[in-house]
Amino acid sequence: MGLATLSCLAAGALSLPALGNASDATLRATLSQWSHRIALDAHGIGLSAARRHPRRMIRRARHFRLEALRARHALAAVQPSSARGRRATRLALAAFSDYAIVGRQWALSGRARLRGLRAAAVGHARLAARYARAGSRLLLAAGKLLR
Amino acid sequence: MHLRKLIVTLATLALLSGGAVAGAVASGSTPTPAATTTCSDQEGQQGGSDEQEAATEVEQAATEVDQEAASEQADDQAGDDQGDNNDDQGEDQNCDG
Repeated sequence: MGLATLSCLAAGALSLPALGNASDATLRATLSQWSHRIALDAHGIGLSAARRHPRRMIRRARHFRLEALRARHALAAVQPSSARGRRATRLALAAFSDYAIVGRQWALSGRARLRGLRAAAVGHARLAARYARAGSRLLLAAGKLLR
Repeated sequence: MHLRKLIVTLATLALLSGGAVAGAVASGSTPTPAATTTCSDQEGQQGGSDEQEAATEVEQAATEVDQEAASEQADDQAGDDQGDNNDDQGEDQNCDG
């Protein structure tokens, strides 16, 4: 009977790492999905800015911020099981927090532009660029950990 | 006694193979994109490319916003008042966005 119990424990132990990989795979899929959405949103903002459409840019920047916050929420709901997965989650959450700030700064820049406050518009845009670089570094590091 | 040992050994093998199958199913249960081929599906097949794509697009957008903020050129008010899809015309047809 002792052998049978040992067998059960061995079978259980064999299946545990695979289940852990499944959680990290879910995390990777979630990160991928939200990264793609954020990329599309950012692309639209770039187009609006390049075509000098500040009102549209503001609307899109607000949407971008909301999407970044939704991405954070979705990633926080996934429970990674490996240490790499947990570290990736922390990095990804920080990345999307930075992106939420980017969205807010883009919207503020557009509003300042509409009011003719060029210095303020530039200031907000520069701050957004700084957070964009930081967020992107964190996002890439998170993705690398999950590969 | 030999029969009992044989039964226990067989049960052990069955449990181990069951565990292995469960593990294989669990590790293979990653959500996969739908079979239809779209731009996002093609991009999703390249590992880590979505994060790279997001990083690139966000930084490019940041550069565009920065340049637009510093620009003394007047805004395109007529274009700005049109529908939201105006910026995207000609952009959604291909995948190189």
